[in-house]
Amino acid sequence: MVSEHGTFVARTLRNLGVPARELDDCVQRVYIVADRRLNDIRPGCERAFLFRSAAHIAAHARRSLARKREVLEEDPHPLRAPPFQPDELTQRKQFRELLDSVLNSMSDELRNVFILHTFEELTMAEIAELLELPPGTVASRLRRARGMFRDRIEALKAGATQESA
Amino acid sequence: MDPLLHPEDRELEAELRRAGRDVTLSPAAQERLLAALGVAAGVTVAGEAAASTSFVSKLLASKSMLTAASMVSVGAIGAGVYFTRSAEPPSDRPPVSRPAETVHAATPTGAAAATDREAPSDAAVATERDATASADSTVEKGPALQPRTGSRKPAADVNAAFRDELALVESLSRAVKAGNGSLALAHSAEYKRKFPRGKLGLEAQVLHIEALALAGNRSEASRLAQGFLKRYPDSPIAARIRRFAH
Repeated sequence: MVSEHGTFVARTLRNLGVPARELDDCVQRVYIVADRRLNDIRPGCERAFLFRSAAHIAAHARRSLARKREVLEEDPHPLRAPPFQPDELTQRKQFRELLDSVLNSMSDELRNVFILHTFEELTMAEIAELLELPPGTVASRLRRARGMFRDRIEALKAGATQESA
Repeated sequence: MDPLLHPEDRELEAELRRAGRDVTLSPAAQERLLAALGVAAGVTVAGEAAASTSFVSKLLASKSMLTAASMVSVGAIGAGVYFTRSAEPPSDRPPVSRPAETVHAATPTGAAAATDREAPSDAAVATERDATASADSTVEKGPALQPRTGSRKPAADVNAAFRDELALVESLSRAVKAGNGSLALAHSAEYKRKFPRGKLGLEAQVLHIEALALAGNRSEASRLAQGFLKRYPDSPIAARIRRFAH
């Protein structure tokens, strides 16, 4: 499960809002839960179990961070920075921050569907199976999440344009 | 893949998609994870790497986490060594405090380190690149990962041997998962021959029992399973073979 799904778990946690510095620990938490409940995991459903555990642990990690006030000050308008920094690494960091900002504006139910479709490239049927949701619900959530994603980017762009003017 | 943004923002969309996908679990992080699960608890290097993270330190020090701690103990019994850091007080420092273990989300080029707000970009990227390219060189760089006694093998050798052992156990695991009993038994025999005192002995033992059952030798599988359960009744790994112990 580690070699097959480790990257999936890490990516899921990151896209569910776990900061990079907490990622290693959270991945370990997910697998310790899986290890304890190995007998409860149906063969072929490992990924679904890991995703649900990851979602739970990510939510817990976000709440802990908020309580401890350890969340670093995020730039609410990452697009305010010049679009092309000379340093590629800085640029990638900015895109990650922008993505985090947009994903953080979504509810968990929209975000789960969105990241599975957009970054894991799962079909709606696969997402429905993984999350044990009716396909219509998945389609509806995905449509709303995509709309929210687009609106949020537009809003950030508009804010950045106003500030630069 | 349906576009998310308007046509003029396609470049931005591509970057955002890449940012969302650009997270991987590096081999070094996998080793730490296996060590935390007790699979590689006997390996000094991997064990130290795992124990270096705040969570594992807490895990080993916490009485409420006895189950996980017992997994580590079982692995240690099999290997005859132990987590030397387990007695240390839990540390709250973030894993990034040790350069050799900054690999949270490494890409093959290590560029994802730049996405870490906390990671000092240049140093972290260099470390990640080293860590993903060669665990041996990482071990040599980290002073805390040096062997503590002169009688031990160099950490790099231990790590390389562990990688070979892990690869063989993974082959064995794959054969079991594929339902190929004879191939699994062949891998199991190879494991016993190459690593008679292997660090992953317990894991290999469990897989051997599963391989025997797959190959139709259920009586031998049952006999070994009962022996295993008698020796390690509370091991989390034991749960996997309880079904064979008739």
